[in-house]
Amino acid sequence: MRSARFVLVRLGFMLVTSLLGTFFLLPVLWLVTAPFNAQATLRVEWPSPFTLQNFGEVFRNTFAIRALFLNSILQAGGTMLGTAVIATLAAYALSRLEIKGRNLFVYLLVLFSSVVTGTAAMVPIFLLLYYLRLIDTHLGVILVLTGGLLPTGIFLMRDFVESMPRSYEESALVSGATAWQMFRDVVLPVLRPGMMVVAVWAFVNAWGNFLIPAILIRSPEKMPAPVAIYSFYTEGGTPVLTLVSAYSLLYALPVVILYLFVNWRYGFRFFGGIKGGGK
Amino acid sequence: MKLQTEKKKSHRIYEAHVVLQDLTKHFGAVVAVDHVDLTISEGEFFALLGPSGCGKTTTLRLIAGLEKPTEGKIFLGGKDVTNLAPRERDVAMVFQDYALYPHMTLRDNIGYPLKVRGVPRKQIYAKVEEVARHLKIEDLLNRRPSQVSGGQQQRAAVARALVHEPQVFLFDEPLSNLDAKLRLEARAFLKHLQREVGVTTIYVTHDQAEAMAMADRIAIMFTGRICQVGSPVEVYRHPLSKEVAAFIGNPPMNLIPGHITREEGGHFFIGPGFSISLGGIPGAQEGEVFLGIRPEHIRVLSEPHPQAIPGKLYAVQPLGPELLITVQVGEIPVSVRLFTDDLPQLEEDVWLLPTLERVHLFDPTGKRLE
Amino acid sequence: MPRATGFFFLAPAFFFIGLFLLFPFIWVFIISFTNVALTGPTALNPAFVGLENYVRLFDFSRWMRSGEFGNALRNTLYFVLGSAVLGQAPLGLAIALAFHRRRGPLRELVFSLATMAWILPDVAVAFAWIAFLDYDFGTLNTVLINLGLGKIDWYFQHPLVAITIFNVWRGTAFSMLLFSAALGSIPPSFWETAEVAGASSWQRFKDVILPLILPHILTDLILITLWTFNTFTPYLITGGGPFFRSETVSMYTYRVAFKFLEFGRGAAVAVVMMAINFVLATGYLLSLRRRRAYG
Repeated sequence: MRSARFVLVRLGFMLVTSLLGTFFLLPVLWLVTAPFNAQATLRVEWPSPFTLQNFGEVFRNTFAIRALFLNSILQAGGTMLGTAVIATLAAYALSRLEIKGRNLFVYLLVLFSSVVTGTAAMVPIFLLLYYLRLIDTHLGVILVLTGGLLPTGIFLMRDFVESMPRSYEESALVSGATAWQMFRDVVLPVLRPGMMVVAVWAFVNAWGNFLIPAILIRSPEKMPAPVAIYSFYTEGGTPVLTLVSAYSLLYALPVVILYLFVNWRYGFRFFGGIKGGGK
Repeated sequence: MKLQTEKKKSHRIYEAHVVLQDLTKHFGAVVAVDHVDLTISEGEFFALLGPSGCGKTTTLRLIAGLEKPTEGKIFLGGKDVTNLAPRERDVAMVFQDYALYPHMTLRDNIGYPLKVRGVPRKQIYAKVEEVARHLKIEDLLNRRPSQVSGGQQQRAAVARALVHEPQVFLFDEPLSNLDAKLRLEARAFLKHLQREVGVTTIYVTHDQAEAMAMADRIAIMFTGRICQVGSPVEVYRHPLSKEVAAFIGNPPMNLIPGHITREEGGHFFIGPGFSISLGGIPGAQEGEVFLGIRPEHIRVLSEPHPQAIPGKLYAVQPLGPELLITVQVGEIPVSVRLFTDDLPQLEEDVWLLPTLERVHLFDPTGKRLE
Repeated sequence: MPRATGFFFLAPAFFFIGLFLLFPFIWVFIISFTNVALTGPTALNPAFVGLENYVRLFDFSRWMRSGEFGNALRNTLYFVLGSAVLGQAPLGLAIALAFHRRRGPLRELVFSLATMAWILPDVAVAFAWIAFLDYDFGTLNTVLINLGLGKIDWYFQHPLVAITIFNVWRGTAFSMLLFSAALGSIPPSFWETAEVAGASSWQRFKDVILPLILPHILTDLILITLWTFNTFTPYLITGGGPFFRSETVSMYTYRVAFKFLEFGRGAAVAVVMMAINFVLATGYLLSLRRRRAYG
């Protein structure tokens, strides 16, 4: 009797988890079927006629392509570099300077950045960049995004830094290294996996950010993909499904690839620092 | 492998090599190192011994330059290095966790001190080879630390310390991460190496057997202060305080509280349920005392004896070549080491006969009575 | 580490956070008491108007009307409760529990799919959901029809429910990953002891696991509540409509500030938004503190 119950439980388990999987999968299906459909509708259907022409047409739209392959990369890439470097330096200093209450401080910073982002901060951000003459510049977007991502970036790096034994740095110093040599030869290489996690996470966030560029960028040639996609609308204001879906897929692809890469390399150690419950 | 220091040694053989003068370190309200004075000779293997938290590691780190002293001075080779950064002190340190960088091969790890000094690559590799061969890890140089065993990692850490021929070696409990058998092998290895190379070595440990086995002289520390400095034999035979006496030896010295009275026949020690004559032991004086006797200096009798201490057998632990028994004398457990070749009959009631020449006396504050 | 170098290392972070987080935070307060706008006479000569902007928000005689602040506030309450507190967190916990200590392809699949839903860019996901929710052609209705439940006009009839479901779909992965890590950090011996002592599955969960992950639950709730409260993405699906029936406070702020370019008013809404955020965060933090007092 026990084994029958066991089988039922297993089946039930597999059924429920399959339902869950389907729940997460279904809405995305359109993004992988419609782009290949010459007569794409809002349906998820097997593409007929199957075509790659949608992509062809998207690529002919130089404005949108520049948006995707230049502007988005520029803005997301710049944010990625800025966040990874600055967050690492800050997390390292916070840890090694042994500032009391640094954990609480970072935690509060993260909360603070959740509060002061999005639409709440729009007006002062706009005015600030206006006065700094950074409206409609890539730099402006990068700076604002970096500022918003830094608290969480520091939070992510903190665990990696704390788990690096101080004896590494100390033995380098005793071996005769200057502080800079120690940082370059020992600290940075050891922190590299953490920096990669922060870099990827920052990139993905910046890549997908719609609001900041929408507010700060005025000229079409500087718009990144999430703003440029709206140019694939007809004059009447409806989206051209073949093009919108194709562009969306292209736009989403780098994120998918990055995720697979990080998952393969590091298995999502986002929350590696949660040890021994409740810190 | 002979180092430059051999030559130096013959010229300055009586010169103190490492001097700590009134060295003090406070961490906030905590006094980790309390006015420590030490003089270590060139080429000496010097151990800093004590329980966790006694300040020995902090002292070592002060010598290395990883901490700045609150008061006091440090001299290395006659030079005042108190305010110098670690890299300016020409010392080498082997850490408890070895601190081998995971992203570098053993070769790059070992060669690192030379790399930061700007030594040309070819020379670095040559020197690394030489040192690695000496430590028998020359085949592992291309591997990463995670790919070699704990014992090999330890030797790589030692190699890194050797490679730039420092004035002083500093060891911070380097054997505590090895399992028991490896530890014994490593002990012999390190001692032999030190003799050969002849570099002044300061070795921190909490393991008294290790310190006794390896060091020329031992400094025993408790709560930031040096309690006694001496050779292993001295410290074993002539502990200056109760704490030192109880720390050295395995099992540690038995300490029986009681008091001494002066009577017709001389001094008598009155302990829990017994009284024995102390004969002419130096230091005997009236008053409260602790009587100390090591487990190996007690004979066990199965019949009463005027000089023997009565007790009840509590536990017997056979250890192969010897037997460790615990006897309850009143409330006090007393350990005795017996050799199995020479076993007496053991019943519940036993009488312990201490060898009088080996008895130590300590006053209530713990100081030795001489 | 020498203090000078340390401060050099911290300086860039403090500069960025100070300029782009702290400064806007302070400035928005100031702006909210003025009538500054992007264009028009007040652009160059903003005047101090005191609490006028706030009064307009909280005009209780009309604030529940569609398009007003009260309406947005009410929608947001449902949205946050429904999608974060009652959606993402329990679902994330359930998945984490279900796959606790059970490796295998199924776990990888579910985790990956949930994570994909979380990290795909907003705009792409928005279009996918517009298609998903479509009355005639959308996949959701197709599924409902096949289940015999009939089509639902999501956009016109239940826009708020639609974006709630969307947000659950979107954000569950975070809770799932966080709880998974939290559960993984509990030594198995803790509940194995309970099992040997005779506790049932539910008792093991209630008495051993739940107390140990309570701090993580609170942390999770703070973050997802704030994020959900502030999220703007549903705007890309429904535009806050029809007739502001799915407009959240976040969208309302955007509309006031950038559709009408009335920055002063927009700032006032933003301040109220942040105030609510603070109340929520403080509430959670206090319970976290109390929890920690118990060890």
